[in-house]
Amino acid sequence: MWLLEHEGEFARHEAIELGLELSGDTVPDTLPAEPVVTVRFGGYGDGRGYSVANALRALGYQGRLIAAGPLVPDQARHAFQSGFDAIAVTDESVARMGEAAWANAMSLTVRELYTPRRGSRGPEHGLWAARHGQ
Amino acid sequence: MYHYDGYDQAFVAARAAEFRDQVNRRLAGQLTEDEFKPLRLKNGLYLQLHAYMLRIAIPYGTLSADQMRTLGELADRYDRGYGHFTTRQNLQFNWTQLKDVPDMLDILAEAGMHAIQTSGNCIRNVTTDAYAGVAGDELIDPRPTCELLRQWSSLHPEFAFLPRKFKIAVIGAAEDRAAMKFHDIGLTAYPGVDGGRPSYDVWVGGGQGRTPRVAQLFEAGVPFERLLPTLDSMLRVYNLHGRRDNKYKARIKILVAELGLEEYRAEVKADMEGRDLSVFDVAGAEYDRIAAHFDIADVPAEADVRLEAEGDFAAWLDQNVTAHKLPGYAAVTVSFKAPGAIPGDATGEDMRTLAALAERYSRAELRVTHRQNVVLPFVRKADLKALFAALVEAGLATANIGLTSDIIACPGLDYCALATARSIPIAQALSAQISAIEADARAKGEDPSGPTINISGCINACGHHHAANIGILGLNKAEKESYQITLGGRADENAAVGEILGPGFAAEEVPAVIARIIATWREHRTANESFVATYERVGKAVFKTAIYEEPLHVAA
Repeated sequence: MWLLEHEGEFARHEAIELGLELSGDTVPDTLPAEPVVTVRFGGYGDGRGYSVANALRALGYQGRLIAAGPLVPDQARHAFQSGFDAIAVTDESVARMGEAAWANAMSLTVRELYTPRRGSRGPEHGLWAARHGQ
Repeated sequence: MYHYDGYDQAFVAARAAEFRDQVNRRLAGQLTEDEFKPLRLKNGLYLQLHAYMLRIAIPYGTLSADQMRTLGELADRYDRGYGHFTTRQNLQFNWTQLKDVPDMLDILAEAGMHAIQTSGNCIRNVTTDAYAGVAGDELIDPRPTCELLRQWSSLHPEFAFLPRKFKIAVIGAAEDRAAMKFHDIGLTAYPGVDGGRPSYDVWVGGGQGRTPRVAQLFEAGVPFERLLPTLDSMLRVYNLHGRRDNKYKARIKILVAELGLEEYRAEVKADMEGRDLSVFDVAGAEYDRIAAHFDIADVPAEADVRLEAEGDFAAWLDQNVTAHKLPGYAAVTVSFKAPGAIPGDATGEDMRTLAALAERYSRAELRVTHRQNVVLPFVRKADLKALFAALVEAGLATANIGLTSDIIACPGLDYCALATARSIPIAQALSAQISAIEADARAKGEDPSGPTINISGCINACGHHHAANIGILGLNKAEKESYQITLGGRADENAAVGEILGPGFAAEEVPAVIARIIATWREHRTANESFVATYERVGKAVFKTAIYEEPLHVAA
């Protein structure tokens, strides 16, 4: 299993601390107490996990959030900008999609947004803020 | 109109570069077609029956002369010399090759254009009134709001894999010329309490497709400061709770119907409660910056001119020229619905002609209408005659805007992989037949107006058939094309879904059926009554009897 960190590090790990595993389809009623929470996406096209992360950050979750499931490198930006710290990537997906595609996921994408999300771990500053001197 | 600054320019260039990399990884086999498909759709690229189709965003239908010229160049260089204006105010190229698309996107980015979110399960290109900013009945120009929403929704990380596509329309006048109530979210903008930034009525759950719905009022009087937070929470509740088990039940209209409007509203309020909304604080200053681009205070005043007109010029003035908010000006609509033509199709040459005419006569600005025509929004009345002459020379002076022959049609089975029947030949046959009747009426000094006709080649309803006075839906019944007729639909502020008339017809029968429907209306019409007014008064049964009682006698 590999981990892509929001700061850019991409490395293979023998074991990964996934902490509390949550299904990516529902926002939990109570704030998790665990220091690590993994949100498992049900499918590549199932974007609920991004809203789960956003909602957890809005609720005040400060721990480490990991996205897991059948994601592609092009979705790394979406995950980080929605509040995830890292993405767990399977050996199979690294082999097929290419280590470089994952390692460069954040340099090959659009790194800016007009308006960042509360709780984002992405590289964006926000074009509106830049325009208005903030 | 809005012009890109360096930030916008860098943003679309970065997106074009990202897409080039995605295409390369697909060609190298690192992405499966299943994985690539949502990525290409989010950039407007469809695999159609014969080729890739690239759908280019014309945000809220507004573009500059230079941008129109760029589209003309792309038509000649990468397509077969033409493009297709759509009911979503976009432009489609139907004959592109995958390897060329990254280059096309670079050229578009140079011109301040893109194909971002013109397809896919994300927030689509925001649409509006094609006469925004110039219409005489306007309360506020909706386009600054549209541009703000374009920026907010572009590459939105959280709402990029929604249950289904999501369409937003904004209007700023009492008359709805954007079919606002047939959108997932519709906004009516009007001046805010202190005359500053607008307030909005927010409508939700409209849509067409196989379950047509007119939007319901979600909340009235939302002040500007609460617009983006409200949309943010509306989208989040939809993203989390919209159905994903059945793509035909995945639009927000189904969620709102199943939850009930009250419950949906409560969920949205609960999501918004306690959220730190400070990221949206800068939106007000950004709105003001954008709004300044649309300010028309510098447009010189013109003396109002009374035009003496007769013949073709008089007909064109009647049909294609719209009242303007500024004295001495008019908005001119150029019809892409000539008799027998393919609705919305324009050649590269047409696009260059429009660009040149816009530069000469319309402050270098153009609009694309959701009825698949093009508007020159700032024509001095004193220039109308010269403009008309230039349009006649270019073969673009068809005088039928708003008439029955101004037919909407999707590309249908001639191009589209989703279609179940052809739309284009039906539109061509009807337009030839109806144009002749309209010309005859005009020659006799009678009113040439009549019902709107919209044609879709499948239940997805890109041709907006539900919202037409006469809707035509092409289906496939027992391996044969069959056309179902709906009556009484309307896309305006009194939006309504058309009612199915009865069993469908063969393609050859459609012109005769439509002729009978129009004849029945004329027979029952009181002076100056519109088609829908007559239909609502006399009811479906009268039309049903007229259509089905006597055989059609059409040679197959």
